[in-house]
Formats: sequence, C-alpha cells, structure tokens
Amino acid sequence: MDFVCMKDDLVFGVKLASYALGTRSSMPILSGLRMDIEQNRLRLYTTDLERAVRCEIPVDNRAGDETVVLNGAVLSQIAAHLPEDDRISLKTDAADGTAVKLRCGEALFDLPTLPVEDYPEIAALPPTRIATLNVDQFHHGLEQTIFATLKASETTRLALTGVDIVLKNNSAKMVSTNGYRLALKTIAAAEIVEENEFLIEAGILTDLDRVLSQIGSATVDIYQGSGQLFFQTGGVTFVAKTIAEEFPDFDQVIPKENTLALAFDRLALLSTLQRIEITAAKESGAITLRATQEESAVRINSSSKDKGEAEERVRVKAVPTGAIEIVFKAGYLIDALKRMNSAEITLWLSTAQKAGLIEPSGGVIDPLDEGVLYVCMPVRISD
Amino acid sequence: MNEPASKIKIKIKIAHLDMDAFFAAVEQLDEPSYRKKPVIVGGLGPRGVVSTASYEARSYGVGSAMPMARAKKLCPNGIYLAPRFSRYKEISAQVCKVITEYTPLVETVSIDEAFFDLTGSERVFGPAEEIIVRVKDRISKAIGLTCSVGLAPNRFLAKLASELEKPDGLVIITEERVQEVLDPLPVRMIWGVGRVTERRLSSLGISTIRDLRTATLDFLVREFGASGRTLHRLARGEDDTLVQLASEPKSISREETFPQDLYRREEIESVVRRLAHETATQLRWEKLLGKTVRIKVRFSDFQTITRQVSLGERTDSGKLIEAYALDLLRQRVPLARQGVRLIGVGVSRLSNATVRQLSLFDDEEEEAALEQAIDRLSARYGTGVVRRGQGQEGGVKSDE
Repeated sequence: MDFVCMKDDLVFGVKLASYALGTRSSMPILSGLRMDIEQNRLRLYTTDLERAVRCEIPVDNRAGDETVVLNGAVLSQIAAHLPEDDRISLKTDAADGTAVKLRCGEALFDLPTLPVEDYPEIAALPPTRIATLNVDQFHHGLEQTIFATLKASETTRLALTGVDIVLKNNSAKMVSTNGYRLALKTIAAAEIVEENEFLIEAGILTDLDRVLSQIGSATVDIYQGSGQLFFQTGGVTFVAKTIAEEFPDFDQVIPKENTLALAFDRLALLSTLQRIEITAAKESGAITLRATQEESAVRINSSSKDKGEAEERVRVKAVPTGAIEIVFKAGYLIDALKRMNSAEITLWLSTAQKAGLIEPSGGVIDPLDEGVLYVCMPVRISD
Repeated sequence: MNEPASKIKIKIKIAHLDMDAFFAAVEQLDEPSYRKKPVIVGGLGPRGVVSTASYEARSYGVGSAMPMARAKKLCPNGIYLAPRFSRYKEISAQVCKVITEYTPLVETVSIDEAFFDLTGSERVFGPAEEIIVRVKDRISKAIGLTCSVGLAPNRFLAKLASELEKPDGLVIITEERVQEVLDPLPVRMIWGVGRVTERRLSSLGISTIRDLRTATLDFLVREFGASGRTLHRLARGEDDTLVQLASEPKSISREETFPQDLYRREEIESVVRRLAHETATQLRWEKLLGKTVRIKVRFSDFQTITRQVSLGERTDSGKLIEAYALDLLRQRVPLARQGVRLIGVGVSRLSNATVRQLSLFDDEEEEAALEQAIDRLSARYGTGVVRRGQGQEGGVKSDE
C-alpha cells in the first residue's frame, strides 16, 4: 500500500468512521478501522456489529490494491491533531506489512496493523431501495422521539430501547415509548418504495443522526438488508442493526376522545413545571394539575414530606369546559415540552386515570413541530 | 461487685420468641379436625418441599426442607396442605401486637420469629422473666398457639435459649449461667456454624462449645480467618449485635431450593414465573411497589448468579415482574450443562403503593382486579390453588 490523499478528505472519512468503532474488549479487532485501496479510491469501514459506517475518499494510489486494518481510536486522534499541510501519505512498511507509515508535513507515525483476516465481513448494499427521507425532517423526528426511550443498558425490554419507524402512505412515522409515555412524530417521506416497519435502538439512531448531519446532504436513501437497514447518502453508508422485537401497538394507546382541552403558553407551563417539580416526591415526581370551570387557569402543585410544597397558577387560553384533577410525573411532561418549539401547546385530557395527550396548537405551529404528538399516562394516588 | 460505681452495668434483657411448628399449628388451629394429627404444610407439586411439619408429623421423621414425596412415604396418613401465607401473616401480626405492648423494640426476623429488647421495660412492667411468661400466656390464650421463648443478655444467647426446650419452651440464660449452659452443647448450636464448619471443627477435634472455647484465638483465626474471631466470641456467649428495629423492608423475595437439581429450561422458567407471582402477591399484600427486579440462580456446584434490572417505574404487577424476571433469566443467565439447585426472584427499591405511575400498555385496572382476585382465593384456599395460565407473557412485547 502506498498512496497520497488530501488531508481534509482523510480527516473527514476517519471522523465519520469513528462513529461505528467497536469498544468491546471481547472483540479487539472491532476497534480497528479497515482501509481498502482499490485503484484510486480508499474505502474506510468500521463496525461494532450493531452499526457500521462505510465511506470512500479519492486517493492517488502508487501501488496495487490492498487492505489494512489500523487502530481506529489512534487514527481518530491523529486525524484530530495533524499538522498544517494539505496532503497525507500512507505506505505499508515494506519489510513484512505489519506496520504502516503515515506522514503529514513533518509528522511521521509508525502504526502497527491488525490482522485483516480477523475483520468481520462487510455486508454489501442490498439491491432494493425502500424509501428516501428528507435528512432535516428525519433529524427533527429523531430529536423528538429518541428522548422517550429507555437506555439499552438499563432494561431488558429491547422494544423500549428503540424508535419504531413506520414507512407507510408516503410518510415516515417515528414512535418511541418507555411503557408510560410515548412520543410520536410523522414526517413526509421524499419517497416510499416499499411500505415497512423497523425498530432501531436509540443509541444507534443518535450516531446515524450525527453522521448525517456531518454529510449535509438533503436526502438519505434507505435500503433493507437482513436484520439491518442501510442509510446511504453522499457516498457514505450507515448500517443500523434492527431490533427483532415487536413494537407495542402504539396506535391503540393514543387517546382519540379526550375532549377537555387546556391550551398553555408552552414556555410558561414548562417553567412552572420545573419549579413545582422541586417539591415533588422523589420516587414518583408527582405533581397535581387542577382545572375548574371557574377560571381560565390551571393550578399545579406538589408536596413531599421532606421537601415541602409548592403551588402555582398557570393561565390557560380559555375557561376549561370541564373540571379535572390529574396527577402526572413532572419529568414526563417537562421532557415533551422541552422538545417542542411552538409558542402554544394543548394538553388534552379525559379522566384522571386515562392518558393525556400533548400537541402543539394555536394559530402558528412551528414548522419543526409538524406531526408531533406526545402521550403520557397519569399517576394514580390511592389510600 | 468489682465494678466501680460510675460504671454500673445495665443488665441487658433480650428475648427471642419462636412460634412452634407455626404453619402446621395455624392449620390445626383453624381446622379442629386436624388437631393431634400429623399435619404437613408445604409445596404439593411433584417437587414440593415440606415447609413445616406438626410435632405429630415429626414423630414420623418428617422434617422441614424434606421433599414432599419422602414425607408421604414416611407418613402416608398425614394431612398435606399448601401454605396460606396471608393467614400466617395475620396471626404473626397478632403475636407482634402482644409483644409491642411490652416493648417498642421488636425485630421480626421472619413470619414466626422475633427478637425483642426488654431492658427498658422492666421499670414499667416488672422483671423481664415475668414479662415473657405473660407474653407466652397471652399468645396461648388469646390466639391459641404455643411458642418457645428464650431470655438472655444478648441476641445470640436468646435465640439459643429459645431452641433448647421446644415446643412450648421457656429458657432463661442469666449472665452467671452462660458458660454452664453453652459448654456441653454441640458447636452447630452456634450462629453461623453450618454443616461445613461443623465438619471442619470436628476434624480439628472440636465438637462441643467447650472445645471451641478452650481453643486459642490465634488457632481459630489461623483456621477460619475472620470468622474464627466470631467463633471465639460466640463460644463465650459474647454478642453485641442490637435488636434491629422493624423498618420498611428493603426488598421482597421468594426463593426455592430443589430436592433434585433442575435441568430443563421449561421447568426452570416455570419456577421463575411462579416465584415472580408470589413476590407480586406479597408486594400487594404489604401495599408496596418495587422498582428493581432481581433473580438469583444457584447451580449444582453452588456457584450463584444474581442479575437485576430496573423497571423504570415501580410496580406490583405479577405479569410485569414475571416478564422482567424471565428476560433476566433468558438474556443474562447462562444455563449451560449445569443443574440448577436454587432459584430466587425478588424486587427492591420499594415504595408505598398509594402512588402509582400508570402504564400505557397494560390495563392496570383489569390486571389489578385479576391479581387481587387470585390473592383473595389464595388467601382462602392456599397458594397454588389458582394460577395464571403459562401461555401468558407479560410486559409490552412478546418475548420471542
């Protein structure tokens, strides 16, 4: 191996590839970044078996085609600290091929290689494209759903660690839940070729989102492989493992007959909730909302033995059409309000034991809030 | 007295009360036709184990932890019953109420056993020696059950005293008599001396507490490490652990040791399911919710694995606890070629059940009504009378 390439190209490629670098000590080979030289292209590849990144950069190849695997973390650090120069060269140590010399400006690194034969096989891009999404919208969808999942390290219920993506009727529905609250976002798809549904772990989607934001393309193509989805754009492929679990039937838990509407100024409600949460009981985070037909305000209060109590009135747009007293975990409402952008939101309620629904409302809905919906179950207090 | 006046020693009076053949005695209490007959309470399934045998049954050689099948061979005419925990708890609470009239310092060790500190009660109620007679008397008259009580200067000796004259025993060990009582007893009467330690002591020529007392501290520490120090102290009747006040339970769990190791996954899973539901039943009984589910698996070589997971929100749903317990078993416990000798399921991070985050996908109302109906039937007819079908998988997703 012997090639020269633009420093910026390699830095960019290594950075993207680093999102899929393995860290598990049980498979040290996955900490490697694989480089395939084929004529005048260098393909960079990383995987931790849950996700993979593949990208290509142009090079000036001065020898034959070859594959090497280098320590990815070391390469990432080098890429972040290269000296001023616009070119970089990599050359196999002629003696036995177990080391690579990387040169940039006056800096010279001697890097040991990892055994290529140990590196897992690279899955080829499947032939069928099933959809194309708008990157910007996809990004907002992820932002408004990922937060409602459970961390994979904290649960055994895999379905609750992911965002369910339903490609249907020319739109992509993204749904997530931890079993007590649910976030839903519907975005218009650029194109749906084949209707389908996939569940992908939130951590993987976060990495996908970061990779997409670095590339800056307007759209991303989605291909379906076996047990994985391929997201391709601008010569970069991100492979995401899908979760082979059934996602709960979310449509059935979205309230459709909540008639008591409480329209709030989003930021006013958010800051009230953050204050009232201070004195909520630690275990439940429970805060009580009280609405009557007497005033166009909702009283929110909380109390706990050790922290004290707090109460506050928050204005609602209109006098409620009914009275209710309902308890929620403050954090669940705060999570949702923080991820919305519109000036006004409406909390739709029915009874104290049934789910509440939050959606942006008012004359002007922020474009970022198009198709967003949040469902939250209340807390029940009994004697 | 050699003590200087400023160091007058308060005489500590700790009592230990142990209900005699508790489960069986309650059954005999509630059903007069069982009285004076061999009653055996325990698991009635093919792998059931005896929980408690009445004294009549013990004369046939039936003892607790014995496989039911063996008990039935020894005592074919016995009355075999499934335990009714909720009833035992009721009685246990009544016993506890009697004790708390004399002292607030009560440590309930288990459903049929408690320590209580009478040191401060003497000024109000008279000598501790008389209080324990009154306690025994009231339990016998008001509840209709017998118990064995020990009174001594510390917990270790009190427990030992209560064991000396079972059933219906009353043994007082005064400070002066400690060595006289302890010396002739076999070493296994000491706290923490199980079969393994007993065998090792015996191989060192130590079989009575006197033998142990005369061994030097150096020798015991060399042979047993830190626990050698404890043995040295206990052999002298020294124990300074305090009566632990009743506090909120930190966890609730159920475990079961099998007379024969289990190998088949279905069998192991079915035990996990059952223990999960029993744990949930107890949670509901105590009006608590738990946030962490834990399973414990002990293999035939005694290697023990515990795995736990957080539920996100607290629950007392048997369905949910079962689902998580099975997840832990399937995802985090390697069931290799080894047999399983013990399985436990428990929940911790408990809180009061009055505040409950409702779930989106499980119909809590329906679920709670169903599980409470099971609780009521179990309370009346014994656990295991009603059980969920095993086809049901809990949680919000299917497990396969």
